[in-house]
Amino acid sequence: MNSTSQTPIAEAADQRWYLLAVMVFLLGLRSAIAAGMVLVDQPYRRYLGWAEAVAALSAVAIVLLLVVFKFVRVPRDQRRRFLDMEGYVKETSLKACRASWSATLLTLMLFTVVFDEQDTSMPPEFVLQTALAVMLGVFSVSFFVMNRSSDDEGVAGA
Amino acid sequence: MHDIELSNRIRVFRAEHKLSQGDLAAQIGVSRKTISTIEVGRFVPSTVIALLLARRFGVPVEEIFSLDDRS
Repeated sequence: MNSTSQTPIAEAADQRWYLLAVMVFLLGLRSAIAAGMVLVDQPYRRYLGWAEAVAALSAVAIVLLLVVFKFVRVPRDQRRRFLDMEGYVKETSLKACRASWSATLLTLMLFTVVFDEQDTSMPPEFVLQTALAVMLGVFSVSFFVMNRSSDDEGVAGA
Repeated sequence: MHDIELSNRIRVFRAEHKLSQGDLAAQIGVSRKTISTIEVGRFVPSTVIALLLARRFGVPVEEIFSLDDRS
């Protein structure tokens, strides 16, 4: 990390994390919609199905964008290091992973307690999609909260 | 561990060397956001980044970073 030419790669690595977080948010949205589809009647399922398809296609578009981004912005010899570029944004992604893991565990424990006490069961599809929505949603939202523009912009000058 | 805080003098050194955050980031190979969050104390840099900063300014790491006892 001692060359001037590496900073565009460092900035590109940060941008890659933002794109990844947007993709994860869209996948979480898709899962939330899929969970909602289990609970609503047939006429509404059709609309939710469209919304789910839009979210999924948008996520796929971002995956393609990430692939193109990597090959256009990062020289071949830097690609391996690009995935492991250290900095604030990568640190926040790890913190977001920890928050996501905790929220998912709590959600699954809550489902277990509720089902045990009520002696009822929810469709497995609902449980799975809700857990996925929580996991992906908490990751992306906490990532965006930690990376929102704030006081650090005010000290940009020399 | 004691109630301690990592403080730094990066902004002072940047001013002395007439460097913007972007310039400094470019010279040590990190993003501008990483420099700005280190400056305001939101991000504790790795040993590698701390050493790169020290090397860029030509001073020991201890002149840039110090531990403040908050108690």
